[in-house]
Amino acid sequence: MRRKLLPYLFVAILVLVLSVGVSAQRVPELNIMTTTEGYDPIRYEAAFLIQDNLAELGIEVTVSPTEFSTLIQNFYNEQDFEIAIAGWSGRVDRLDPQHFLGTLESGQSDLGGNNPGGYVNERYDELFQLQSQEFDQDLRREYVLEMQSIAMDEQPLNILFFRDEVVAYNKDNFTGFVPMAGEAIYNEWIPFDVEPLGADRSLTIGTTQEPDNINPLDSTTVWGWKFMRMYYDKLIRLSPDIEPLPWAAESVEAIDDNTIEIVLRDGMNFHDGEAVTVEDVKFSYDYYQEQDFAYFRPFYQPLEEVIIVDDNTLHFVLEEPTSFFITVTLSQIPILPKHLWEDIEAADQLSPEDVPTVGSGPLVFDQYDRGEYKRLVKNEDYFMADEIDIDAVDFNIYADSEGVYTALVTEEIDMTAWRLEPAQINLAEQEDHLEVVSVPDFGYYHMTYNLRVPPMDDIEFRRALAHAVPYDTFINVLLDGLGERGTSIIAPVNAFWHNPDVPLYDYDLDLARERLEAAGYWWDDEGRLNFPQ
Amino acid sequence: MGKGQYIAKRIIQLIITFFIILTILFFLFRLALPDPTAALVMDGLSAEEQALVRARFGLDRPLVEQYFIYLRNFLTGEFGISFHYKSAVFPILMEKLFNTLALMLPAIFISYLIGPLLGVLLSWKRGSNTEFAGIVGGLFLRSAPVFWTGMIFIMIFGIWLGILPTSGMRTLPYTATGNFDKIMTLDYLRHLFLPMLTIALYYLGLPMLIMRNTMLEIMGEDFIELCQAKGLSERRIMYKHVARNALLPVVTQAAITIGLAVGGQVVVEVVFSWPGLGREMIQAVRTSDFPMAQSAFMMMAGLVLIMNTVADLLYSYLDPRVVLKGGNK
Amino acid sequence: MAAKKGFKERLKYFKPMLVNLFEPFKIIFRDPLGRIGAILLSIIILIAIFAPMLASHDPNQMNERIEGSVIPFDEDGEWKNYQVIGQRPLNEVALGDNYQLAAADEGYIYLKELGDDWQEFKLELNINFLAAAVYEELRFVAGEAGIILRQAADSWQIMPTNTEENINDLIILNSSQAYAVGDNGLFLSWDGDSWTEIDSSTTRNLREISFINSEDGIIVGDRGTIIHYRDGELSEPSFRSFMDSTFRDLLAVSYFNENQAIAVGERATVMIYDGQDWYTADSGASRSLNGVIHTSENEAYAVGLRGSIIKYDGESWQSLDRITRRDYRGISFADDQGYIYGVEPYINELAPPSRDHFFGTTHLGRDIWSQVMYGTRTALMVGIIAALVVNFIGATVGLIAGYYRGGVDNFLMRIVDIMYGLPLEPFAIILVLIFEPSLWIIIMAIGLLTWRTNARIIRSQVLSLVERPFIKAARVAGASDARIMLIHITPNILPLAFLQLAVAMGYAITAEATLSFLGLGPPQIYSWGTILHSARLSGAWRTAWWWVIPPGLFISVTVISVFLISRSLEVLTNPRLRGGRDNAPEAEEFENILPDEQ
Repeated sequence: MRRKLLPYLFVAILVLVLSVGVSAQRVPELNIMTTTEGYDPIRYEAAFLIQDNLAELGIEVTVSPTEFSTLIQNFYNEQDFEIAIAGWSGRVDRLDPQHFLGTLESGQSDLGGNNPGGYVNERYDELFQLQSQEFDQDLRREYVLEMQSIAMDEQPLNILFFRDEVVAYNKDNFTGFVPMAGEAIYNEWIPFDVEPLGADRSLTIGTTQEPDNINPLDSTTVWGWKFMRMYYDKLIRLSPDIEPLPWAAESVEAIDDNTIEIVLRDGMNFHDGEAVTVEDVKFSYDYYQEQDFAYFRPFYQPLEEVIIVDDNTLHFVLEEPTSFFITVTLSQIPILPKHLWEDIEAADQLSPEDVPTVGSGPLVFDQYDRGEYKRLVKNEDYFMADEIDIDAVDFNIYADSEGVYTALVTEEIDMTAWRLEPAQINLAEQEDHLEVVSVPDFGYYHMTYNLRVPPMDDIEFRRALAHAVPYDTFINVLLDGLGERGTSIIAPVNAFWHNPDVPLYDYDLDLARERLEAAGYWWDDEGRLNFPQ
Repeated sequence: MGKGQYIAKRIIQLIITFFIILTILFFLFRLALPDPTAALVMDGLSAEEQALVRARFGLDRPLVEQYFIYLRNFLTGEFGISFHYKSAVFPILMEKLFNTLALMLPAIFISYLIGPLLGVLLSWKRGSNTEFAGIVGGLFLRSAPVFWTGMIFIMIFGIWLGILPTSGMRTLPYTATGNFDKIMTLDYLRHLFLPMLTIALYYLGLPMLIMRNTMLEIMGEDFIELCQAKGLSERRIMYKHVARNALLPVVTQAAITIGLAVGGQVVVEVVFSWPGLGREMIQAVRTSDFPMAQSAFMMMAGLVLIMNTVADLLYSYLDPRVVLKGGNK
Repeated sequence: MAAKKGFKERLKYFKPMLVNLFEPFKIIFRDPLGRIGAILLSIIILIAIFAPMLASHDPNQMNERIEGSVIPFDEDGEWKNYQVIGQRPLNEVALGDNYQLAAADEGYIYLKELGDDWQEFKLELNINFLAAAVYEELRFVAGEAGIILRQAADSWQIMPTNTEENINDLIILNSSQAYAVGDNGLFLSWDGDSWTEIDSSTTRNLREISFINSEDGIIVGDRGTIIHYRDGELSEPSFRSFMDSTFRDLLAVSYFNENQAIAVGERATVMIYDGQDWYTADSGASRSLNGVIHTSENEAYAVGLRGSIIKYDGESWQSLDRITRRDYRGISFADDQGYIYGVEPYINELAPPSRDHFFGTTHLGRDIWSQVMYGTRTALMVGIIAALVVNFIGATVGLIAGYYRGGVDNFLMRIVDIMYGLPLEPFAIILVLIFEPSLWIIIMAIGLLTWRTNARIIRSQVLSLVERPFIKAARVAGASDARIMLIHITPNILPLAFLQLAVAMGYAITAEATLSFLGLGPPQIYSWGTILHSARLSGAWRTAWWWVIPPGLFISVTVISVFLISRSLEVLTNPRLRGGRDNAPEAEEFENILPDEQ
């Protein structure tokens, strides 16, 4: 009995050893981390489409749909991933290329940083420094374009697609909406642009998203900010074409590399009747720094001090030349009334009912019931009050997009603040009273590789993978045609900064195979991909 | 063991149980859920800035210390500050709890009003087709998942016929000065109708079948035969003697159902976008808002525990056949 | 002797267990409602076993509907009449004097003589034909891998081209002049005899070429490429040097006269040429445009994805009503005749029930019938395994607690009390949220939370059993605890356990559906709850009733069948039929009415 068994045993061991030997060269099974279907069905389906295509190349892939907060934790804070599908939302302050370019800078590759894939390229880092200190826009553009070329050529991440922001409004009741990239029609120009067509002069916005709170020194969500900027004024406003327009400032001028001179507009008042003075402006910037409000830290960090020159004039002194200071910082930090805030020592400890809601913006805060309703009314004393044709903006807060959509159809609301689901777009396009607006986004969805893990450390491998991403299917099927294939980390819609000549990798599995083969990868008998010998 | 002692024992048990659940939950959340500040990266916060936020929430302290702080807060009636809303948890939760009860209590009331009546009817019609249909119907109502019946109702009444609102508690905008002000309107009743119907139908089957079964059981007992022998009318026997005694298990079941009400129908809240406690809890777990999630869950668990105890006590008081024993022997 | 006796004795012990095992089935079949339940459940089980055979499609497959269709320009000057002419998408329709020629995928061409219907021809080449062109009696088609065919007499012959690139467009100007453009900057010219390559000085894919006369043409291509071709001279590939430029792919161009040309492309890009310069225009649309054509001096049409047709009146663009939601590949027009043609392989989205798809399709074209069939497996698997877990834990705890009583009992029952304090649904949600979604987590969540009722019921049963004379007798005879529990008590609690198994199964199926409906189910494994989750998530459920009703009905029927069975089993364990399911505290004096076997 024993003797008979031995040869078999030997063969078994041989097979085992051989297979271990072979599998040691095999490209291991890779994991793609993506969101759950409930959080974002598009990213969820995209991961499985990529899985199918990589299987064609002999690369085994598992997909783990992960709860969003866990995904973010694994991706950024622990960098515990192989391939992750994530996205950046297009917030208006990100039209300046600083933020997106920073996501590939090596300085941010530590745990918790914005560059979790761990991309390091010296030339890129050098250009990043150069561009962030360059005031000359054309020169800065040169740097920014080159950075995109480097990054997209080396593919530390694959830009999958730009998803249109698709919203709808009731065209029978209101007109004049001006879409803004990344923000669609719920932007800060609403008070000036929108005109009522009927008797109802209050614009009602339906939303599912609610501010976490309305304390300008404690809110850390974009929904808090999108709401508060309606009633706080800023020195600069970004036009729908993202030009910085002096607003509460009469003029903004860089008098040297480190100093920006601001002349404040005359005759502005806070909603409680007090005048807006240079003291208030200085106080606001100082207060943000003093309170160490983490959410705005990147904005005010370059600021050394604010000097009051005379009753109308201020100098913003910077620690070093900072290219985005005017477009981002001055357009985002609100002017707070000094007389209401100066006695508050710890702004983040305020209980909700004690938070001052007095600003100097075009609309006046009126009411906020958590989870249900918010209301802003027109500021009759605003310096541009003549331009404001609506009397009020109401926000109805719904539990989910279903609720918003139903309200849109039943004309309970006049517009949506957040995008429609793909299947709702189809239905909304058939409604006579609705106008569907599709606005390109400059936020992007990406597949980031963990470059510390082989074979993702191999440029050629990543380039081959880029040919295995079905870009057209994403757009035509998942996004219902409303989107654009991924090209660069700076989106085409951000025309000034986008590099239209970045290398593109078209979907072509044959090409992907050729590239892998040329790089020395090979396929075993089972069709699995193996590392170069 | 006397009744007073028994009650005292049950209450002590309840408190210990509550405390254990509290502890399990605390460690489960802290150990298994992601860091609540992780999501802030998406808003551009660097690692140091996240650390600041963590320190503010007290998340940088050792776990055990956090646990004792949490316990101390809990005992002093302090439910903590929500990480997401950055304001006190308690008022937010009370409002959500109110919303949930504003949906569940009417639904339970209706099902426990109609259910037993139908049960009596079924037991009366014993062996007939009505009984057959009643049993199958009752079981079907218990089998159909509530989220599905809810969706069907929305399709029929909200979309096809377009006569009833399908989401939320009231038409916006709405200003109310207090909770009770909110529900004292016709508009609220219109919003209430579909979700309430969904839940009431689901709950209807149980009291109906319990009632029927207990009725049949009691009808077989000696004293009924005695009544019949006395020549009392059947109607009189049914209502005066049988139904009265049969209500007991229905009443205890009602108490238990009320206990479950707060946490029991999360899906209905989801389907009808009802701003209730269950949805708030899921949201809080998803965003790792520990104080919120924990307090919401403890509210649910607390009510379940209390109502279970109440049901036990009710049972022991109302059923003459049960002698109070010290707990479970 | 001893061994034989032992065997007999054992048989004696097992006999009641076996009898008890069959007893439940007898009882189920004695009760008419139980019979119905058993039959329903058997059907569901059969469906689960044969799910792969019953499923007509892969449930994950995004089903496409492929057809070649045209919309002719009718007498009223409108595009209305959607006609399907074949099974292959059309890539270009060329208009001749008295015939039309269409190039299609997979080696197909279609030909329509004046007054006739479209006729389908399959050529031997198995490539996609991307372009067609005609001039009087010259008929060319071209396609992938640099292949250009010419019709000579009744057959098609390959014209040598020396290139492997795909040819995207083809135009014949006269009997001795033709051009073709293709991928990677391919530009070919024909002199009536042979094709020669012209250096286009770009490597971008060129998409379409359009001429106003034999000496003046425009080529457009990827990433904003616009090339003027005048008097045999190519201009710079000027994607940046015009007044306005775009870097999106330009997919089509219509050159009407010296002062009018329109190029369209990705993301509804529209570029207009005024004889001097190119300007971007706002088309009002947002989806990609694949074709554009002038119909008169101040009128042009562009077509694109999802049935977009937009009309230009010389000033502005206006969207026309949709005829179909399918994707158009292009548009052609000449001498009052024209076609919009396509269509792309198209996701058969939200199709109502039909013979292909018994329960219709989802918004991504997935077959709902197949999903529901596979869902049966998931439901039963979760139901059965979870019920076994519940029963195993519950019965073990109940048995031990009831048998040993005292401290052990007290300890175990305190745990049961804690379990009763956990609101089931919310706690299961938390458990599943915390861990990665998988069926096992769902099973464990259900199993770990619902054994409490079983434990209580079994315990009270055991409590009364141990007072029985035969147990006492066994004790006196010196039988070990394990032996007594296994041989004397277990057979007597089996029917009760069987009942609890059914109850737990119904409960587990509902719980699984609920968790999956909340989006906590495992990815790409279909369960009835998941199907409803996707339906709701997509927003399409409000009209797509076929997506909502079947999975819910299946859940209801399965659960009710289990309920019917458990109901008839209740007669077995408790003729007094005390109600109360989960969470019902059992009365302290649980009556034992088992037929006493011993």
